[in-house]
Amino acid sequence: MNTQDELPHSLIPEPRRRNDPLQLLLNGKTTTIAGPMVRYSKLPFRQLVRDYNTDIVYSPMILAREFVRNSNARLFDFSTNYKDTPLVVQVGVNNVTDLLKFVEMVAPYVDAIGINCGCPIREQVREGIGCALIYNEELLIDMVHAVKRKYGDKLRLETKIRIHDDLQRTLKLCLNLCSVGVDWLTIHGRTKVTRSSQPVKLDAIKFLTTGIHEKYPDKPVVANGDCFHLDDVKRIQEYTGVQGVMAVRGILANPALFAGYDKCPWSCIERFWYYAIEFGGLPYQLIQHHLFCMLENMNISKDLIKEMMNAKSLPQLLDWFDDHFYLKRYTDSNFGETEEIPYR
Amino acid sequence: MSEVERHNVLMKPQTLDSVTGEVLVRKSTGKQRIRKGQTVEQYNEQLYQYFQVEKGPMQTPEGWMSQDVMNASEKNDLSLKQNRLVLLNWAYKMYYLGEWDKCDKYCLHLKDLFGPYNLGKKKIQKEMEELDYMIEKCQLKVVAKQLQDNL
Ligand SMILES: Cc1cc2nc3c(=O)[nH]c(=O)nc-3n(C[C@H](O)[C@H](O)[C@H](O)COP(=O)(O)O)c2cc1C
Repeated sequence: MNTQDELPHSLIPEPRRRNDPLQLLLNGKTTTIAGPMVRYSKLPFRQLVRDYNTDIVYSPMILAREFVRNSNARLFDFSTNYKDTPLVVQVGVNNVTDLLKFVEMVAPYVDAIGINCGCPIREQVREGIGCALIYNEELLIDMVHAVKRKYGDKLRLETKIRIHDDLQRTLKLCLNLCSVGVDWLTIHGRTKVTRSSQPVKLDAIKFLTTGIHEKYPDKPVVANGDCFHLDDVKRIQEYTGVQGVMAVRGILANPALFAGYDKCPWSCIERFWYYAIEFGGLPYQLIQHHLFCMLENMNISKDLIKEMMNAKSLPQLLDWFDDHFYLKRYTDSNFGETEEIPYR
Repeated sequence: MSEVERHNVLMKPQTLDSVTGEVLVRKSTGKQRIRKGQTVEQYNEQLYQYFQVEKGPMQTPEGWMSQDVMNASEKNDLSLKQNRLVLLNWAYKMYYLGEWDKCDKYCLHLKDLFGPYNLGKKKIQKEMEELDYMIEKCQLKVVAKQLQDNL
């Protein structure tokens, strides 16, 4: 019996594509992308980076296995709204069946789905998820093939990979992924064991991009690694020949990176507070960590930051901000526009 | 087999049943573990729950919170942290906007609602303390405002 025959198809909406990421990547300008971060790339943060010239935004990796089986996991892992576009939802998965189910459930609410083939976290790798997939080429290709065979052009599918020590192996993988219809590739220029403190290998990204474009001239490639300032976007693009540049740690610390701010402007703090409260759903520690990353980037004194980290709850944290700064609310004039820190 | 090769073999899960997605994974010790599959019926139940009942993922556009939404959300299973967080958020919003009087009353209401779930569980205790904090602060602010208005 075919599994698909058993599904109540009439209940399932078609994949949506309000804003096609592929068209953005093919428009001749360098596409700016906020990459996936487990825990952090949730709706309030996604909206914040969209306010500052980010073209495409990723969700955190969501585990397919949990998502398709457990409604509490769904509630916790994914919320969205009509402004949350273009959105790529990233999936952690180790088999075709779970992936097809995940795609069926998520595709109506997103612009593309990305498979995480880069996460080096041990628990995931042991399950064959994340970075394990670049060593399990056959499975990865099968998964991409299965999705593209079912959905064709109706659904955009991306893979975010790390590189192997042997770059020929990575190139072969990339070409095989292109041959089964992956819509674009994101290459994080580090191997499974390279620490993020080591510089990203732009030479490797350049080699792979060139190799991919020789055979598939129109296939967009995105470079990931060490993009901390707007200048880096240009430098990385010019050096590697990619169509898009993805920032992750850089944009966590400075969500206005792609708008050309070298340091996180105060406006990000005001907007983040607003979105976190307005959309809801973020656990307190997460909100505190976002604010910590931004304040640190703004060079606020260590003692003050330490004090902030002592706040034990959201209302306490808000009081701390109001005690030390003029924090505008969205109902105030010039809300979310100030660059300088408005100390009290 | 080299260390790297051995490691890569360990990372390769094997699909045992392509209908249910039952997968065999190996732990680093070499021990095998089965990740149970999901039957067609179980998946169809999830599809129904997700598309028909949940109406897809939670949608929170700007302005989604309202008293009506909160009244409806009170009926959700409040033993779940995520469901309590929805209600707490409404209190946070009032606190953020400085609507002290409304926030005070709503926090008192939430204390009544959450009370029965506060059976010594540390996390709920934290939420109760947070509500107490907001109530205290709101009451101080209300008094301060009254004094200022009377000056
Ligand atoms: C906090 C954090 C969480 C991450 N979570 C994910 C993830 O969910 N999926 C993924 O593919 N990569 C994840 N990564 C890796 C990043 O997406 C990115 O590949 C890496 O940080 C290199 O980019 P960067 O130099 O711009 O930070 C994460 C990185 C960080 C710092």
